[in-house]
Amino acid sequence: MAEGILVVTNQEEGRVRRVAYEMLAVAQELAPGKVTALTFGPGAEHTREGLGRYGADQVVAFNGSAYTRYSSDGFAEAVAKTAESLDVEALLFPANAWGKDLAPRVAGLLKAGLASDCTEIYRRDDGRLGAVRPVYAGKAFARVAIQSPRQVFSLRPNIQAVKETGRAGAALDMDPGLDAASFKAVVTEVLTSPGGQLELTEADIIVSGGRGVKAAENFKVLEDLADALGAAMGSSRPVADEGWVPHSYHIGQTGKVVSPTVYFAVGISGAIQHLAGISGSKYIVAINSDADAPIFKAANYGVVGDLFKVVPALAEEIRAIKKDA
Amino acid sequence: MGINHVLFIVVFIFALLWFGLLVQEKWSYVMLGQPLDRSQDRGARLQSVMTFVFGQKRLFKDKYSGPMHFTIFWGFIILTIGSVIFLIRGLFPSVGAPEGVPALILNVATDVMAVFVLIALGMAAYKRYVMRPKRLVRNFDALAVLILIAIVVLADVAIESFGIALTPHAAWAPIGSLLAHWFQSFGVQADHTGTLVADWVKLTALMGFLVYLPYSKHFHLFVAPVNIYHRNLDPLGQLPALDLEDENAESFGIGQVTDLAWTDLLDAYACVQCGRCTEQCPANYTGKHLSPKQIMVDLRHQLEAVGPILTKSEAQRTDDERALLEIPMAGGVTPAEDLWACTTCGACVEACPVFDEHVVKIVGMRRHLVLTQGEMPDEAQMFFKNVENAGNPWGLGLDKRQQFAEAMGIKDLSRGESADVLYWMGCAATYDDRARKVAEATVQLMKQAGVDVGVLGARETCNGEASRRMGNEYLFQMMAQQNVETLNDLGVTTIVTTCPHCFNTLKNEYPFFGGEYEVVHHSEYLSQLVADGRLQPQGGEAATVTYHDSCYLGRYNNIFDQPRDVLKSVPGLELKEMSRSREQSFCCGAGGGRMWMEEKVGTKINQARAEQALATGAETIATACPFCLTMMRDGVQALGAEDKVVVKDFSEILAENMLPMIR
Amino acid sequence: MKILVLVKQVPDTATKIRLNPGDAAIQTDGIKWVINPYDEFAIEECLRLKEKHGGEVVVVSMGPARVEEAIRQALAMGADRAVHIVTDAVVDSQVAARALARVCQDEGYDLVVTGKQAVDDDQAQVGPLVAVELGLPQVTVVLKLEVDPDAHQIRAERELEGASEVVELSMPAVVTAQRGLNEPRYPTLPNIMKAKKKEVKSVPLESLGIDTDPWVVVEELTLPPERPAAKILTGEPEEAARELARLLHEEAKVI
Repeated sequence: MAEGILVVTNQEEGRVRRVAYEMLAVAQELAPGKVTALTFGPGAEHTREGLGRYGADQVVAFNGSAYTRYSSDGFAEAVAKTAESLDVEALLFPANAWGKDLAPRVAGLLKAGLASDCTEIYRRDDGRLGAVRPVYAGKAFARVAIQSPRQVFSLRPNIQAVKETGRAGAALDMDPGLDAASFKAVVTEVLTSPGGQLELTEADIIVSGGRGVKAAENFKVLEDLADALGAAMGSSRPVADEGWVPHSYHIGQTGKVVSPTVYFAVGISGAIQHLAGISGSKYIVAINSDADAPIFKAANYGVVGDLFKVVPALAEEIRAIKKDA
Repeated sequence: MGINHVLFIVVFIFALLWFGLLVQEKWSYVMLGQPLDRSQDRGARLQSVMTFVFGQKRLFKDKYSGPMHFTIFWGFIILTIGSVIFLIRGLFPSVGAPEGVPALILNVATDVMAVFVLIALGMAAYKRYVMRPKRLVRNFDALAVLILIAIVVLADVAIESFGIALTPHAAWAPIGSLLAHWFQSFGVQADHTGTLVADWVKLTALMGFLVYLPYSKHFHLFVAPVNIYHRNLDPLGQLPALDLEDENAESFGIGQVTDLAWTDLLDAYACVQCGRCTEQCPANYTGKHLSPKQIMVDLRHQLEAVGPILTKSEAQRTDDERALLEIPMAGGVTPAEDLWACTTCGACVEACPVFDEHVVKIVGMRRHLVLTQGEMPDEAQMFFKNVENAGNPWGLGLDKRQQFAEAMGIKDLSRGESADVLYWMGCAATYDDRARKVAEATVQLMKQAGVDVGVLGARETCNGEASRRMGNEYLFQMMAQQNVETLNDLGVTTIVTTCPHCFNTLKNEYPFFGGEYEVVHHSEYLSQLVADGRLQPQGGEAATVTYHDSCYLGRYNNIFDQPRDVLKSVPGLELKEMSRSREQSFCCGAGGGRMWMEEKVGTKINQARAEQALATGAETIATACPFCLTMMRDGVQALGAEDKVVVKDFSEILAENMLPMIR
Repeated sequence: MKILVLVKQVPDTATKIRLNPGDAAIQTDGIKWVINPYDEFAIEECLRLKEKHGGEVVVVSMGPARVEEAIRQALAMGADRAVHIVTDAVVDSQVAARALARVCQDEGYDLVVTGKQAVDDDQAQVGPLVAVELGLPQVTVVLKLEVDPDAHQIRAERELEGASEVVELSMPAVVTAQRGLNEPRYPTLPNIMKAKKKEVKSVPLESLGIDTDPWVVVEELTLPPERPAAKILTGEPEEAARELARLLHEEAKVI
């Protein structure tokens, strides 16, 4: 019977994302068999030490010339071949842009069921794996079972704890024997968006300022918080009308409609025209000196106080938290 | 038969034929429009003609131009009597000149009116060329007509004077006799020559004027009375329903001049480009390109360009002509940006002395943009999607109205309860925290007066008003049918609304879709409760309030006094009027779906209005519409005056001045 | 160019999710069904490609009879005709992909386009799975698409976290659309009328001869735990900021 879990992860120049270690932590919990990590690309071999430390029994690094540039079809074939030759019970992918592209392709090749973007993966009473995953944009959670022989999951990043285990992380030399010339879709260029400004409508965290910010130059305070959070910047309409920020910042009924995980409304009173643009946010954080501002009714968290004192302090706290992590 | 007589006949017939052919041509263009029955209510129509043509009522809003135009109008009519006699005598020299008392009356009238008309012409020229108000253009057309009228009048006096000079026992004329005395000093021969010259100047000027008119904006002389007779007698807030049943139609809304009703095309000829509409337009006032006058001018221009093509058979049309027909009215003749800038406030319609209807054309063209071209601002598309999918403009959840019923302790008709009066919440009061306070105040007051009131709860949805004004007739009719079904199903008879937009549509537009109810705005309802003594406001502290008229309440439904009555009923409260109020009120900027669109060009309408309100020095701005409330609050904030003035619904002011409910 | 666009009908995103304990599906009464928003970007992109390069856009959708409404809407936007795989069964992404791929094979294609994910189950799988079934390359979460039908080449920009990458691939291929790819058009009324008469071929799922047993089975749906009541902090700014950061980190777990 198939045993062991294959953890598939992307890496850049020998560094992996935190989610790789999260997957390893989950895999260790689940696997009676070996946990194998699989990475691709130049420098992949340098990930071995870290992956081992966080729970990989063995590490496969496809760092040959075929894997210099990402190809969904090429990489999927390599993963599928590896999974078959190791005869693993399950595969884990990160639910990021890379993993979400690759995992379903691999599942298709393996004729296996895939549960995407799981927040929890567990061993069921029947010995198989089960998962919990958000549906309807997080408005409900589904407990799912996968009934195909092999089971594939992608794991939502930044939810699980990581665990140092000091496993061997032994190098496992494998070669799926693929030729890059047969890869059909290939990444030819990576573009970083200008100025690092994130697209508002798809941003995960947004820091947004309103009339309470009082002047264009004061937006620096918010920019600093956004910088600490890795957030995109937005604004209410009056502020964009005043020209304190570009019109592209305007969030609301007649501006952009956003659905971030966290929305920081700073100095925004929260008129309905603005609320309509942020109702899809999972968490709304309001910072406003007016305790009666309607934004506090819509908020999950709020601070009543002077934003010019609260925001810099908050940025500092967040930097401290991020540093610890 | 003398050569002069022959020439007179020739010139007269030639001019008359020319004029006739021109009128026939223009009329054939007007008849390219869609049929529309405006023959009913003959009495009311004749009354309109009396008031607005002969009484010139709408012109008197302008204290300078009103008397001026009145004088020219009546002067012209009186001088026309002389002109008719002149023409009859010219054609039939055997007809004698008037004698005795009739001649005396005619002479006096002619001289007096000539003086008045000349003064009025001078005033007109002074206004146009010296005062130079923005609404008036200075082109050849305007000048030509002033000069032609002056020539006709001067020639009249000259003819009269020479006539008196040559006729020993002629009737006296105040000016004519004086001039005749002087003319006699030149000798009989000179006077004969003078008469001849004056006759010909008069004839050519008169005939030239006649022929020139149809080419000019001054065609309004003939068309305006016809247009006023065929004015719209239905409520201003009732847009014509579009037939959406035709599955093979390739075009909906106004795409071509032929999609307009004939009365709309007549509007274009009635327009004299006085610019009163544009002068009153809030969009134009705040720097938008939209000009209601220009829409009329462009319409006439387009009609005259395509009229000759459309009146001939398709086979005879050249490629260039076909290309001309391809230009759409919406987005071609009138820029789409102008159409979207309109708040449908109706100030232009109210201002127009000849009863042109601008808004119905603008909405008609928006219909073409949305329904046929699929061209609209992104925000409009988002608005439509929200209304379509969620039944409200913000795309928010649906259980808020039930929560309101629970919180207020009133009936919820969607839960099988019934009530004497349905309070129609409207989306603003449902979802906007600020507007909900107005709903709470209103319902509280109704409860206090012992009214059995309920809401539709889960079954109320957007009434479709803004969708309709934004040109999405398809969506509007879907919403209307759905709501009428609900209201009829629940047996609703009396509806109170706080939103003038809901009010107007439920009252004036739903009957077409089978929804006949007694629809009352909360200003009407509350003012009645106050008048009946069922609500008795107590004195608060002395305060000054200025009331901002909602367009859809005031101009559209003639509700000016009721909210003011409620405010005046509060002891200690002083009402201050803004420079523009009642019929001349200035829109807050939210009408016509503008609430849901960005205002990117020029300055903001709501700020302009807020400035007007602040100028009164009042401490409170009272509104009667949730959108006005939002716009005025935003405007006051943008001006940084939120510490000086508060914005409230009039009903909130009433509620604040009621004693706590004692039961 | 023949373009197939795969469209799913989903509950409107403003829908309030209602469940009974133990349910494996949401309560559907009173739900407003709409085209999956990401599929709208897909439809729009297909229409633009057709307008530029000529050809035909065929909508392929799957589900119960109500799905026809979504199909008509796609046709109203300008698609030429549609195939409706009719089934009342609850299927998983794999079954859906197999069924859709079978119809694609029967139809023939130069390009298959769909949304990056459906906003009901949020699996984000059908695009790549169809690609595998058809043996085609894929590019997902596309922000920008350039198609050269003569050279059979596609150049697409796909979204990464805070960046994007350019993918080059050969045609035929499967493309999944991300918000930002375009602004979907609003159907005009004459097109809504015409859409009523366009061909919608109904194909029962059973007639496709594929395995319809799902591999991924939803056993239970639960609502997320009630949010704790809003925490509004007052007091000293520094303390409030520290407490807020702690709450975001430890309670909401979003930082």
